[in-house]
Amino acid sequence: MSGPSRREFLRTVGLGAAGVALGVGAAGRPRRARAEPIHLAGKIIEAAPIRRGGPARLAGGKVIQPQHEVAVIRETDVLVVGGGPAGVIAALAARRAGVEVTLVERYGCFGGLWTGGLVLIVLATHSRSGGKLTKCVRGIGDEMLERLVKVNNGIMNQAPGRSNPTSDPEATKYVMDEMLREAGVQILLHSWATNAIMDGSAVGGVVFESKSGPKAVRAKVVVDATGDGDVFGAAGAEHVRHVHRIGLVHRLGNVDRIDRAKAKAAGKRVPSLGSATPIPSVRWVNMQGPSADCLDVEALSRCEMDARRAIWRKVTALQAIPGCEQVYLLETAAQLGVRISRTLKGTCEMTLADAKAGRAYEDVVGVGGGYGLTWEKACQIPYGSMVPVRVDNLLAAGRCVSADNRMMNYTRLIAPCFLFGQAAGAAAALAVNDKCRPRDVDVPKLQKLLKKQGAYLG
Amino acid sequence: MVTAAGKALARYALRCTALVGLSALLLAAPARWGAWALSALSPHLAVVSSVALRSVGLMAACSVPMIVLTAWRRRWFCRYLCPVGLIAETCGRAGLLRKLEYAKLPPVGQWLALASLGGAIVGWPLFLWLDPLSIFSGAAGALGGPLTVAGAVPAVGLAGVVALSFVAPGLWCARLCPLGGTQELLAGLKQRIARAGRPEGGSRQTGARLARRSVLCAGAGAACALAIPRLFRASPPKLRPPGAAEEMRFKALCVRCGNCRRACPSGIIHRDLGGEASSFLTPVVRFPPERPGQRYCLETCHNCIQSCPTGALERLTLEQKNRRPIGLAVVDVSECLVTADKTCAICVDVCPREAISLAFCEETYTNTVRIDPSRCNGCGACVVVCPVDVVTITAL
Repeated sequence: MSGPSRREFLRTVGLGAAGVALGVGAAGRPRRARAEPIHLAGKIIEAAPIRRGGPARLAGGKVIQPQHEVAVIRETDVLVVGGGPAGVIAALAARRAGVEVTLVERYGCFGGLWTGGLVLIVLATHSRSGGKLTKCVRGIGDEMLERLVKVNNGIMNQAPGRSNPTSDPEATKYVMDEMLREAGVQILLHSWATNAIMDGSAVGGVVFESKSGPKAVRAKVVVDATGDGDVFGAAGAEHVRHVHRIGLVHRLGNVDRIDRAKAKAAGKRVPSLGSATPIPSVRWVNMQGPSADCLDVEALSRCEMDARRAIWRKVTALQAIPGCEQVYLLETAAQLGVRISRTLKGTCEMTLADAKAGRAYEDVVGVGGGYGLTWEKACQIPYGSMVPVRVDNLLAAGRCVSADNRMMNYTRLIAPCFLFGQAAGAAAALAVNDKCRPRDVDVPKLQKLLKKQGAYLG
Repeated sequence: MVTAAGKALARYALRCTALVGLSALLLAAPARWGAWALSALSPHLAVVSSVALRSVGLMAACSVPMIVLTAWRRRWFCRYLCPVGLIAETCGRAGLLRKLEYAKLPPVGQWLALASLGGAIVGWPLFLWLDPLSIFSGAAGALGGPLTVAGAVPAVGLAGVVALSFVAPGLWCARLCPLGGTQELLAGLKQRIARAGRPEGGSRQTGARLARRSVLCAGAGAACALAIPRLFRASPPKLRPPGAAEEMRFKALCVRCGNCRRACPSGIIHRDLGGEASSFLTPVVRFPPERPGQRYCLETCHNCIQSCPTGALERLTLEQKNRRPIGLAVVDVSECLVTADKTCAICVDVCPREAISLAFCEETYTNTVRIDPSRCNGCGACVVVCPVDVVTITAL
């Protein structure tokens, strides 16, 4: 944010707060709205104050959070929470449909598990029948993959006759940034959504935590692309919780310098080193990991540290093999590899039995590619899988959509997440434009819009 | 008044119709119809397999009209319906040799039928597979499939009958066919019952001789049936379609009609063309190496069981079939993607029996695929779906 706009912002906040102070002043103690001083080299200038209603208090041994008003820093048409593959594409789809969009992301980059989690392969992009390969994942997701082709070492296997490409995480972050910028999506990074704002049974926005303190963004429609379903969980929407394996992905460098002949001469076998990446000297190594509740912070902490130790042991053992001395641990993922935590109870639950039977939906909003789980069959995605049973003005996108405990191992793949994202974004924009609830969106109109955006609906 | 020539023509027309009709039924209709047809038409199959199974099912009960007919009119089936008979007769006529007089030759067909019955009493029918209808069904199966050398093998029975007919016209039908023999026995039985009480010394003596011979045949069959399984016990177990009886019993009960193979929508039932003679042409289960496709023993299907005419595949309900193991899944964990921490574990989700799980080891920090043998029925869904082909189904 540039100087004048910051000043402007402060003034607005100040005026707003002053107004509140006047109102509250009559009832209780008055509140002061004042900019805080901040040191810039030798000068002292004004900075926005960080408010959280004062510190938490101890009362009878219990910790009590202060009750306070949260500043609304933005009002938008569509708010997308979570900047993974689904969230980014939802934001792009909504923005391109002509509405104001704000995208909130808890980490400092976009791409979620695809980049920060180092899960680099985009699975289920194509279906295969009778040896014929059909590209199912088109639209904005494919546009993104195509843009990665233009980046040096950006992506591999993104070409005719190829499927399930693997991308470079840094290239992906960069391409996502650029696409969001070009579309004009409002961005809030380092912002962790903590609560839903409810207006009756409808979601009216989200409160998130940040270095600037707790803030609120109000929106006409919210897309929950948090992966964990943090927004619909907080909004009280019906959902299912799952325990699943948690891994930690890592990347190895210098794998092209492995001397297999040397290892063989020493009577050693070089173990499996994960999968190739667009960078020839680098491989990414997945991890299955132990099963745990992915919403349990203690479990997450334990998994993170145990996994890192396991990786170091593995890499050290690898380096001890003659010929593998130069291989090194390039990085462990910034984000823990959470596979699934919450899934929404949507108006239509996707099931593996339906996928296996090749079920067709009237409200199809995307066609996922084939995967072992669906017997390589293309898999239709119903709009109902993203619409909560009761809560309004909210759509889910990404791995937390409505799916049974087998099908979720398909819906959590990156390519299907692209599709959920585009469908949710387009539907949210349509709901705003038509002034209706997302559940009342005219499905044929939504399908038309998606096709206009390049999506493939079978 | 119908002339003899007219009668013969009508009989010929009926036999042709039966040949075409049965072929069409075996080739085009659901395979389980073929099973009912085989059972209804052949008292030999129905009676002997019922005795072997010690139960009379609905399918076996269907043979009652044919039993009555053949007892009432000697060799009624041969004269009016038998497709193999028609083929053999036609070939015999086309052959160069004259039809010989076989009356002096022993009734081998009757002996075969009696020996099968005797074997069935101890649970191991010997010559069911020589029934002309199973021979015909096997040949129809060969015709229905792609025309390859391996595909033509099931027609070997019919080919044998045809070859014999050229060399010795009429020998098969008159003296060798066990179904013909069964009909003779049934007619003889009816005669004996009709004559009972009428004092005619000579025929009573003949009757006693015949009865003695029958008991001898059946006894010899039973003795063979008891001895043979002991001779063959060493053969390694094979993967059989669901509901298959114990291996030796299965090989005896199976008439090699090929119905189960035709009935399988997944195409995983194949003919055993391996070296073992006693297993020749019996159905074995093999999973295809190529993906994709749901080519495993589907949890929604028990067509093979429904299409077995003899109960070699026990008549289980769908639910019972799903609980009855074909074999047991075995994973080579050393090559499994999950063990190598690669993206997979698809088998866990596709298993219709929830028999596959992952076991995590703190020590190595890796997961291993585990099969629960109490749940696994060997359906092969995991085999077909495995991207690195490390799962196999082993016979129990």
